[in-house]
Amino acid sequence: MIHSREEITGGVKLSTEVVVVGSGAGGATIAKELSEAGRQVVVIEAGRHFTREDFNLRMDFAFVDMYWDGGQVMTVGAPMFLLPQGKTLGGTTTINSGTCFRMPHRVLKKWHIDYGLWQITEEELDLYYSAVQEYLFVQKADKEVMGQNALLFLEGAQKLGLSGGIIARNAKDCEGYGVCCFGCPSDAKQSANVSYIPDAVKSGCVVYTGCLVDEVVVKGGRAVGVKGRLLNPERDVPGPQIVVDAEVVVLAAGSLHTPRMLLVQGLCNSSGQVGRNLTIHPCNSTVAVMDERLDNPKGIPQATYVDEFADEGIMLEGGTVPPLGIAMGVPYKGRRLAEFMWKYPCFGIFGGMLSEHCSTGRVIPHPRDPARHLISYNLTGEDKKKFKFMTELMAEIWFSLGAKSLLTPTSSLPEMRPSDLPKFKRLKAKPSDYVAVSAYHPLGTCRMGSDPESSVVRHTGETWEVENLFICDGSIVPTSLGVNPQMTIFALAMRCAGFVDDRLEELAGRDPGESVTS
Amino acid sequence: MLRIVEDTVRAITPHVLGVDAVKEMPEADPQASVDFLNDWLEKGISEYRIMTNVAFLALNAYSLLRKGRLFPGLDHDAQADLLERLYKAKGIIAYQFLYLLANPAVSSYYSRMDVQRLLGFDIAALKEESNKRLVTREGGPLPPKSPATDEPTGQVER
Repeated sequence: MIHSREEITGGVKLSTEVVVVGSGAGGATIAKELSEAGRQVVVIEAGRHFTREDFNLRMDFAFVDMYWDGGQVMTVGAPMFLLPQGKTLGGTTTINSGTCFRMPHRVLKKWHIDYGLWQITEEELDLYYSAVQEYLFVQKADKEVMGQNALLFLEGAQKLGLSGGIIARNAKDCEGYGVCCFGCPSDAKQSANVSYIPDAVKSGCVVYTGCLVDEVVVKGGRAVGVKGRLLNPERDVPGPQIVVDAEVVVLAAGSLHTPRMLLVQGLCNSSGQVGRNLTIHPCNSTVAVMDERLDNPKGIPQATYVDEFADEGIMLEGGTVPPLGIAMGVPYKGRRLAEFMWKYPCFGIFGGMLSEHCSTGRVIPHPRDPARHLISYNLTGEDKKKFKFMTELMAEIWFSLGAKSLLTPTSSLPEMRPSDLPKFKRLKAKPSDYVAVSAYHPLGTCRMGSDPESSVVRHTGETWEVENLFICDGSIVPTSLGVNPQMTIFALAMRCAGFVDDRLEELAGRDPGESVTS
Repeated sequence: MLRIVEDTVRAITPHVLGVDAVKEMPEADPQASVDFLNDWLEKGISEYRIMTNVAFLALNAYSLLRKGRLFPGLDHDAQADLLERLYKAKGIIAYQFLYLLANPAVSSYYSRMDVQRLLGFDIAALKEESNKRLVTREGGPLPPKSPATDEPTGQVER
């Protein structure tokens, strides 16, 4: 059953085997796996439950209703990145583009060598990846629904000899409505709200939406439940209390909120690593003015990629947005703005992602509001050059396709014509020169490892310091993945479910024996 | 919202949007910018609320300094002249400042259904089309589209 905040009038007191905080890629997966294994599971989600009937395809509504802080989560540093995070049933999977990549081999090797995570083997991960792919209908889209923009850019890149391809996505019968980030209106995208959560509920899982967890209850060094509050339906102000007693607590609130909760309570931080080691994928985009109509945003927003420089930490991935998304970042006003926006049907839009990098950031609780966080992040070292190189690369591709001009993300040269490219390459852009840039995929703020002095959780997802407290979201991923992370979070959550099930067996005084995935 | 901020949002809207320059585009609605900002400030984070108010108050302080009057009290040309100077400024601080000033007008205008439809993003048509093509996890592949639903949704003739 899925309870919405609106239907609950008083406080809630529950007792269960497992309580899961968060319903995104980590929380939804573990809820489904454990529910199907016959466990009693309660999921608590801060966001509200929206269905395809509710999705109205509007960016402005989606930001306010389905994103944390009305879509205004920003990093503090140079440059300042907009870091959109889902706050709805299904978490960010409900509002992402559905891109599915497996983690490259070299990254897992780094986990083995640098973090001692030898227990996570490639063979084991492959099994989970395969199961996730099958369950979520992961596949490449048909060309006819990918959109002109994505196909043209890929064609341009390949003509220049750059490698690239079509992105596999967790979508079934996708028709390319172009609004993945505002909730899929046909349920084609297999986000957690239409896949893992409904299947968990079918197996008896109970979900409370619109509830914010404030505290993990710890007694004698063991997690024994959580306390939180129902959020007012109109505004995020405290309502009645929700208390859940549980044998195992799983935090799956994402890489920003999971460490915030632990830091507010002073839990699991003897290593000093909670909230640190934040990796994100800094992104910038180019908007090219083409002669022909590309008819954005019709088509899959993120349908193709260019991975020629993936080993150096640079991926180009599609990222079309509706007119509002462009207009908000255009550095023009008046007649120039109107005339520019009138050309929207002819815009070519593509994004660059710094997929592996040396920069890291930190999450700390907001000093005045413990339910919020502050994120510090600066582009440092080689990342600054790579970030600019992404724009150069996209510009070369668009100009090779006949673009007359394009918008860049730098305030030092916001508009570029083909003849400006050499000048742009010579520019020494400072990180603070970048404007209208965004970042995605926060990871690493409660990293797993083999050493309790430098990590927060074990390879099983259980925290080193509090028994029966597991973390199962992007925060345990110890490094940047080089690719979009949802597949890896789904896979790790399946793996973690096995260890939680084992723990429940142990608590019941039974030999874990052959449980779900161990 | 402070009265002076509200008046300034109303006054700045036509300057920011400039939609008179494209005859096909619908007129700007200054009150819609005010309503949008009110809603945005109520639902958004406190830092954004503070920064937005500071930006509009700073514009008025600059207006007093350069023109001797608050921004809403200036005539159209004086307002345009003042904004022109600001938009010539370079650098990230200038960009962020101008972003905060322009955002209510830009966001309210370009989130309008009629404006987005005109630019080729027909939300109502897409919603209607998607309602006919619902996907279920258990269901087989969808039937082929009818010719009617294959029609492009954009209305822009160029």
